[in-house]
Amino acid sequence: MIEKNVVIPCAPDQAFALFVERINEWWPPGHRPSKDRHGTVVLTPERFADIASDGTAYPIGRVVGWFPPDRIELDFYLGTGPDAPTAATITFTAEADGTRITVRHRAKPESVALWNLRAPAFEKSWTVVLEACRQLASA
Amino acid sequence: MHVLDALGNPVRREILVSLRESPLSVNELASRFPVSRPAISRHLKILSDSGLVEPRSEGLRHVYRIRVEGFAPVREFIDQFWDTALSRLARLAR
Repeated sequence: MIEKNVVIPCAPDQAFALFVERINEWWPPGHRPSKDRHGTVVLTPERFADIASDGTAYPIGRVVGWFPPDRIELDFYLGTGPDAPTAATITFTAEADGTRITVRHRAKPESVALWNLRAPAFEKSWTVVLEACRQLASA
Repeated sequence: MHVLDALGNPVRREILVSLRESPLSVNELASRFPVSRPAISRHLKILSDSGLVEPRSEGLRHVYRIRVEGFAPVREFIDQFWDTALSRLARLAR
């Protein structure tokens, strides 16, 4: 699992709104499946997509759980594709100086082979086995 | 081709799943899929170019096997994506 977090200086409901309503402003430009610089990333309970300027929707994922202002659960298509999604949970937790936004991103059964391939039983090369162990240790 | 584009094809992902069990030749793979041998070869070329599999000679057999280290980019992609995304989000909040 990959876990990342950031603290932003506002209450959870504002942090949730920032994450959702201004997603087009923070979503990294290099990771937009439309490849359209004038496209718009939208995240609503019904739709998580990059909308190109010609109106074509490029799905980025799917909302699985929507619990404002605490949590969003997503199936995530970038990196592996819609038929082998990964799963991301975003939580918004109140802290003394603001809200901690935590992302926990993990493989699903469909994507586990792509996410973190363990050393196969047939593999005899120690180099490869040790590399796989290192990857697991840094997981 | 980038590793993530190489993975963005269901036949190639199925080839990888087959190769996890044991190294296989082009003919052995072709017998498991409803696609032609040349098509399997093209998929293997893409997988090989992106570092996910490698050709290997076992005596007279020419087989393909998984390169475990070739898979790290999926994790790295997600990892770096969120680093970039959250720092942009934090900048927006200021």
